Order: sequence, then C-alpha cells, then structure tokens
Amino acid sequence: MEGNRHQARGNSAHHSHGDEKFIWKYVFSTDHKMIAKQYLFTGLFMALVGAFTAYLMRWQLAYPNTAAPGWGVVTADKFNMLVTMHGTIMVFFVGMPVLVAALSNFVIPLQIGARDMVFPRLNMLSYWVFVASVVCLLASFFVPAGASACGWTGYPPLSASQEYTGIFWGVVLWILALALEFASFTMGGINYLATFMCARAKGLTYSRVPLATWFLVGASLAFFFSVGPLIAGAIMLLLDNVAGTGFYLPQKGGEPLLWQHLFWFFGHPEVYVVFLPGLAAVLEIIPVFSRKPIFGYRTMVWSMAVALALSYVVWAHHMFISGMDPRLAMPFSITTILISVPFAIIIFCMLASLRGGSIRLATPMLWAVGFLVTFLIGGLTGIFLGSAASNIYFHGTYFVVAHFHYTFFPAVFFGGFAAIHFWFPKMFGRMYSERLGKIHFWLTFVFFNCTFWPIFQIGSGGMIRRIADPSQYRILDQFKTLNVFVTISAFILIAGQIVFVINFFWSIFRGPAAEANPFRANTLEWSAASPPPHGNFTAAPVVYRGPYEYSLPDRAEDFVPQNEPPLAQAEGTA
Amino acid sequence: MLKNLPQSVSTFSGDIDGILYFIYAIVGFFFVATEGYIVYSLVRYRRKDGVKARYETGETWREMRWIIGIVIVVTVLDFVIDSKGAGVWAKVKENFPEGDVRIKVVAQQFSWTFVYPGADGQFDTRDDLTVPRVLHVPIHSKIRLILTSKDVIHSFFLPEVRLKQDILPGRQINAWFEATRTGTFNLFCSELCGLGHTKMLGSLEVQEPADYERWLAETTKEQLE
Amino acid sequence: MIVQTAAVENSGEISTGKLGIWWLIGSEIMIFGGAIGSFILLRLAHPDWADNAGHLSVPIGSLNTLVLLTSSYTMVKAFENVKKRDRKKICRFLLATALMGLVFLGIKSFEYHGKFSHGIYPNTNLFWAFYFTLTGLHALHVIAGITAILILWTFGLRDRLWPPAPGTGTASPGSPGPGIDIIDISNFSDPSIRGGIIRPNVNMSIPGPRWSGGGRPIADRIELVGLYWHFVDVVWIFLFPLLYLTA
Repeated sequence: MEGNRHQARGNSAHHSHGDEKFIWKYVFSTDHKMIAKQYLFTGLFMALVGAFTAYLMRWQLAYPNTAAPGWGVVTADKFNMLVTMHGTIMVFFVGMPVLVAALSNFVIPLQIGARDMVFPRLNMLSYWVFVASVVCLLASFFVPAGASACGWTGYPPLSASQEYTGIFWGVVLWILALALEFASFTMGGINYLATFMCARAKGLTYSRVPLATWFLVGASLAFFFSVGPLIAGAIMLLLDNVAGTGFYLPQKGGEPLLWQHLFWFFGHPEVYVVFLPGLAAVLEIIPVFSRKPIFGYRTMVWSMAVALALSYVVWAHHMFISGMDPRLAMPFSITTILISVPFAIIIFCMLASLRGGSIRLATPMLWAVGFLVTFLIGGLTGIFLGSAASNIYFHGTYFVVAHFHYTFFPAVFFGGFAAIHFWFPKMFGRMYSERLGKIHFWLTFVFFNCTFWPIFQIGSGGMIRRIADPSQYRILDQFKTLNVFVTISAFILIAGQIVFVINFFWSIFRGPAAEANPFRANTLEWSAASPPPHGNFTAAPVVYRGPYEYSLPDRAEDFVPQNEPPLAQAEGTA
Repeated sequence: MLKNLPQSVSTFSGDIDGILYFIYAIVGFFFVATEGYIVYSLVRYRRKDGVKARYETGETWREMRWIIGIVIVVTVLDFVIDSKGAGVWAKVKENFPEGDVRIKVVAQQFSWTFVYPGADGQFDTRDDLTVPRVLHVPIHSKIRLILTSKDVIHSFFLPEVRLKQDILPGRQINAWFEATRTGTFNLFCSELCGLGHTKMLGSLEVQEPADYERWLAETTKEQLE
Repeated sequence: MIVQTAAVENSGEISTGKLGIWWLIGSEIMIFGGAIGSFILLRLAHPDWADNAGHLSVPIGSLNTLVLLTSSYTMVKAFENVKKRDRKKICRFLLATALMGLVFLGIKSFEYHGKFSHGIYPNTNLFWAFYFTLTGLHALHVIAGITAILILWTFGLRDRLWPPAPGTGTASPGSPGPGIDIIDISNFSDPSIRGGIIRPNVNMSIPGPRWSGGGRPIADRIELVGLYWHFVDVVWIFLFPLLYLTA
C-alpha cells in the first residue's frame, strides 16, 4: 500500500534495497501506522474468538443442556471457562489493542505532526510482546483441564490453588498472558506519553492539541499509574499457584481481599483506559460532521483530568458487599457518584456541540451518535450500582452484566467502529462503502439494544451472573422466552458483523481512492497524504490555531486546517 | 425495568426498593430528556443547503451557563441519592440489632449448611443442630447470621429479602434480616465459586413462630437419635 | 476571537530518552508500591511476624546496603567522567558498579542459601513469602541493571561511546543497547528514522547517524542507566528496614 508512495529522502537511497521486503514492512515494522494496523487486526481477530464464547454462553442460557451447533453441550466446567475467557478477551485482548494501542499508535503521531513514535523499536517490541500474550492466552485453551475458569476478575482463593478448580496450567497461562499484556502496554504507554510530550509540531501548544490525542494520552496515564499494583498482585497470585505461598490463602495466613483491592484499584481506571479512546474518536468526529467547534474544549480536558483523578479513589465500589469494613462503603459511594459530574459535563458539552450545527449523518457520525445514545444508558444505570444501598441487591446480578455491556460495548465497538470508519481513508487510502457502513450500523445498533436491554429486566428479576444452568432456578422460569429473545438478538448482532468484515476488506482492496482530507477536517492528520508515507509529512507542519475552527463567520469555507498560515492563503493545506 | 423485582419479604427490602425506585425516577428523567434532546437536535440541525453552522466554542461562562446549571442539579441529586442511601446502608450493613435467633451459615463448594446453637445458645457445643440446604427462620424475629466459608469466596444472596453478603474463608462475617412474610424463598450463591457454582442453591423457609418451634424440636430429636 | 500566531512553543527540548526512563521508573514505583504496600498492610495486622524477621541477619543486610550505596556512588563517578570524556575512567567505574552489583547478588544468594539450609522456603509462611518475593523481584531488577551497565562497559571498551571523528569511521554500531532506544524525532531534519523499518545487521556496518542511536552518543545512555540504577538502590533502601529492622 505504501510502497508506491515511498518517500524520497536524500539519505534513504542506499537503504532502499531492504525497504520492500515483506517481513520488514509488514511484520517487523517500526512504522507507527503499520503497528497500529497490526494491533487492529490482532484485536479484531480476538473479537471473533470473544464473539464465539458469547455465542456458546448465550446458547446455553437460552437452550440449557442442548448441543450448541459447532461445539456440543456447554457443560458447567466449560461454561465457567467461557465466562472467564469472554471477559478477559473482550477487555484485555479486544478493547485494549483496538482502542488503546491501535488508536494511540495511529492517531497520536499524526495528530501532533510527528514523523513517528519517539521510540519506534520499543513500539515494535510492545506489539510482539502483545502477540506473545495472545499466544499464551489462546494456548491456555489447549492445556490439560482447559483455560482458567475463575472469572475474568480471578478472585482468589478460587484462582490461587488448583485444589478448588482442578485447573493449574490454565490459570498460570492466564496470569502470564495478563503479565505480558501489561508489560506490552506499559512499553506502549511510555511511547505514547513521551511522543506526546516531545514530538509535537511547531506551534502545537497543549491548548491546541486535538481532543482525541488528549483523551488517548489520558487513557495511557490512567493505565500507567494503576497497573503497577496489579502486576505486584499478579506476581503474588502466580507464586500462590506455583510456589505454594499463601498470599491469598487464609489457611496460610493470607488475605483474599488483598487481591480484590489490587485488582479494582486497577479495574476502575481500566474502565477509562478502554472508554477514553472510544470517547476520543467520538469527540473528534462530532465537530467534523456537525461543522461546529467542539463545545467547551478546555472544560472537556479538565473534566477528563478530574475523572481520571477520581477514578483512583472509587475502586471499592466493586467491593461494597465483599466483606470489607461496611463503614468504607459511604465514602466510596460518594466518590463513585461524584464521578458522574465530570462525565455529565463531557456528555452535555457533546450535546451542546450538536446544537446549531449542520449535521451530516455519515457512517462515522452514526457510530458517534450511537455511542452517545447507548453509553448514556450505561452511565445512568451505573448510579444504581454506585449507590451502596441499591448495590446490595444488584451486585452480582445480570443487571451488572447489562450495565457494563452498555459501557464497554459502546466504548469498544461503537467508539471503535466510529474510529475505524473515520480514519479508514487515512489508514488505507481508500473509502469505505457508505451504504454497507449504514446497514452495519443499524444492524448493530438495533440488535445490541435488543440483546442487552432485556438483560436489565432479567437482572432486576434476580438472575445472577455466571450461572451455567438457568433451568436450576425456579425464579428464572418466567424469563425463559426473554432469554431466548436475548440469545437470538445476540446471534443476529454477531452475524451482523459479517457486513463489516465485507465492507472492511472489500474497501481495503477495492474501495475508491480517498483524497487527503475527505471529511474536510482541521486536524493535522488530514494534511498528510492518504495513506501517509513513512515519516508521515513531506514537510514539518507548523500549527497556527486550535483544532476545531469550523464555520468561522467571516470565511466562505467552513473549516480552517490547523496548519494553514494565518493570511488565508489557500495553498496552506497542500 | 424494575417491574420484575421479586416480592419483598423483609423489614428492609422495602427500603432498598425505595432507593431503587427513587434512583429510577431520577435516572429515567435524565434518560428521556437527554435521548430526546439528541434525537431532536439530529432532526432540527440536520444539514441544509445554504445554512451554516453556528460558531460557538463554549469557552465563555455565558455560553457554559446551561451546562453549569445542569451540572449543579446533577451534583445535588448525587448527594440526595447518597444521603438517602446512607441510611438504608447503615440499617442493613452497619447497625445490627443483637438478634433473637443466631444462626451460623457454613458455605462450602457447593452446598449450604446451617448451624443452630441448640438449647444452650452456644455454638460449637454438643447440642448444635446442623441442617443442610434449608434455612428455617421464624417470622418477625431479628435473625443474626454468622457467615463462614470452608474453602473459597461464596456470596449469600436472598433475593426476596434483598440481602447479599460475600463470605470470606477464614473470617466470620455478620448479617441480619427480619422476615415479614411466611413461605419458601430463594437462596443463591452469587459469587463464582467453582465447577458446581450453578447448583449451589438453598432455600429460605419463613415460618410462624409456632411452626418454627415445632420444626426445631423435631429436628433436634432426629439429630439426637 | 481566534488566535492565529505561529510557533510559540517548541516541544522538543526534553531528552526523550530521559523522559522514557522516568516513565519507566514511574511504572516500576507503582509495582513496588503495590507489593510493599501489601506487605506493610499485612505486617501491621501480624505483629507476630517480628519473630521471623529476627531470623534475618542485620549485619549482612547492612553490608549489602553499603555495597549497593557505594555502587550508586561509582555510577555517579562514571557519569561525571562522561562530561570529561574520559573513556578509561568511565569503563573503570562502570565495571566497579557492575561488580558491586554482583557482590550484592552474591551476598543475597548466600543469605538465600542460609535460609534454605534452615528449611525456610517461600511457602514456609507469609512473612517468608513476602521476603523472597520482594527481595527476588528486587534482585531481578539488579540483574537487569548489571546487564545494562555491562553492555555500556563493552561499548566503552570498544571505544564506541562517541561517534568517531570524521574520516576515521569504520566503527559499527553493535547492539542497539539496553532497554530503550533513544531516537529523537522531534527534530524533523533528524535522519535516524528511515522508512520506519528495522534494519538487518548488514546495514549497521554503514557509518552514519544510526550508529550512535539517532544522533545522540551512546555515552548519553550512561546517565539513563544511572537513573535506573539509583532507582534500584532506592527500592533496597525501602526494603532493608521494612524486612530486616522490624524484628
């Protein structure tokens, strides 16, 4: 793709013989755009694995103890394994690579006008460590006793000793996979943060950095300062399994709650690690497709900072009924509910960005609006869970399941698809099919809601999470038809993604060629060619203004690229 | 969304439902208002030829005044929700009554066992009464539960009572409730505890005091034989 | 209404390598913070662990602390000589630092051996689990630090700390060095990134900017490794009193 656009620079002449080799270009590449694509494809592949686990679980919940086509009867041990792997894969191996790694890698250097990451080889290393992590996780399906079945949160003592589950290698590989993933994203985080701080183009002050970059950097920061304690915790969990220590085993003097504290200290910022990149894409798309400056740029950045700071002091809301001191519940309940304030500001600023706009509902904008509409439900239902009193009833029920699918799914898939479609022309140099994109959006939007809305009702009716056989529960008999409805909706939701796969691959190879700035956007990435050559920019971009100067009253054009010189000379974008 | 709540059979289940409905009302209002506004603006501000978008950055206090107003409302409502919830939380989880009946709950992979102290009112004595699976309690008495686990973390969940409490191995965790209706109700383990988690079911049997005493006497006799 | 000034801020003034190392240390602080914090919490709940801590030899621990502190001093001396461009002294001090790191590890394994021969293992009880985990994790960092220092030392021996003077250059760049690449790409004229492709070794024989790690001499990495080494030292300063002196 980039071959014919290889940039001719004086000093590259005597190296060109190596440049065209497939292995250096597509496999061991240090180009941030290629690494972004590698993360994207790896993440999308893992999404298929995750979708398959969802299919099996939903089959079992709708048609208990019948053979699922393509697998067979989902027995209780397999169900617990599927529950665990679905959560692990979707959060750590889809959300993280697609949103954090692929988006940060692709967007940050381009938006700040850099030629690449500041540590390109570290960047490549971080991808390959991630691949090792994926291999570890997938291998755990095939070891004796199968993959971990301790839940994606891996609460010890269940996960700390094989005497409780009979699974040894599965748990060890699960911990190793997470450890490698954390190492990979720590390396990535160092890169994103250092690039953001060191390699901004001339004139790109912190108050002119596009919101997408700000929010991606915020996600990396959230990850960076929360993951350390969990790494320490994971080392202890590993030693409990392999060395017979008892960090989490009460009969050896250990403390099971320690893991929960370490896990959720990471866990809540982790929600924002996945959520902020989704939001980043949406914030970039809304002004472009409503031709209006984003409302309250500074307010948004500060709100994000406040939300990040708060996210480090809310972790115990996952543990209200865990047996920790009940007097801790109210302080954590207050911080938790307070976190709705910065996000309320961000959401309302996004709504205000629509007001008075000139809105075009192209595919990326549809996904962005879909994100707003669905994430709002996730955020609002979070109030039920953040209030300690109502958490007593809802904790551990399908209400929680519905709630976090209404937060993660919009972030990962609505935000992810918004980003993929929006930056598709820049990434692959071709346009996606608008018609297929819209069909895909409506299929996903309708059947996502059909899948997860009823789950709120089932959950409030008392269905608890992670049960392998609902037919054991009298209280759930009334939900039989509803569960079948959810399952069928989920199948259509999964099947609907075929439209995306067709659109994606057809457009990569056969889509119409994209111009440099097809959406008439302001930020720097649109001043590079589509796709950008190695080194991204032909000349160092200079930035003269903020990123969201749309529909200026005294201009005929409704956008002003950031790098266009002040005296309204039209050749600035060339 | 809340119409499927199971029946409410304890002295505090009504309070918890009250919080649920209160939050539901607030959240429902914001849901309708916000989603409505999104749809409205998508229609109202759709692209029309010759109409340019408004240039408005939202960087001034004047432009931000609506947002600030709504956010103040949100903050106030947050505190109202929390202060209402604090009382209920304290009632369920903090300020325990001493309890008319004390029962020890033993959770293990994958079953529930209930230990009644017997005539001497003391646990770990010879007249302890061990009952599998079914928790018998008299109506209108304050039941003090002492929750223990033999192996991993379990969670004691009585949906109709609106009581849920995780059980940590190596610790004794207290809980309480007072039933207000007789009948047979559900008891689930709501924390993934291993292979048989899905079958770790029990039940709660709330009886009239006379029936409860009769059951207690009969079971004691059975166990002594 | 709209500010249209040109370049007001040059963002490329921080050394990316140093920034990278600081971020790395930041993440390591969180890891050790989590582990040490867990230990402190449980230690406070278990006053009886003092008996176990009594089995640790304070003199040996103090000796190890002294060794590690001295090695930090020699590391500083190596860095001082970077400014003076005194290659011989740099090599000498780097080697001294690495050797003292090895002495530290030797004393540590002597201690471990003593514990094992008394039947004390990580699974003996929770105190020893923490002891072996914390010191073991720290020892891994010492090993990483020694490796980085020795790599720099070999660069020094082969006189590759600075680019050769023009005309003398047949030197090859060798390995890319420990841990982190220092490639400053904030400056657009920097030719160190060519096509975003990592090159097979054959290309490395070509004299050019690539050999010094992207325009910055290898010698600059002595400061970065030094920062890391001091961090490893500081971790031990926390571990020593927490584990040894709480008996």
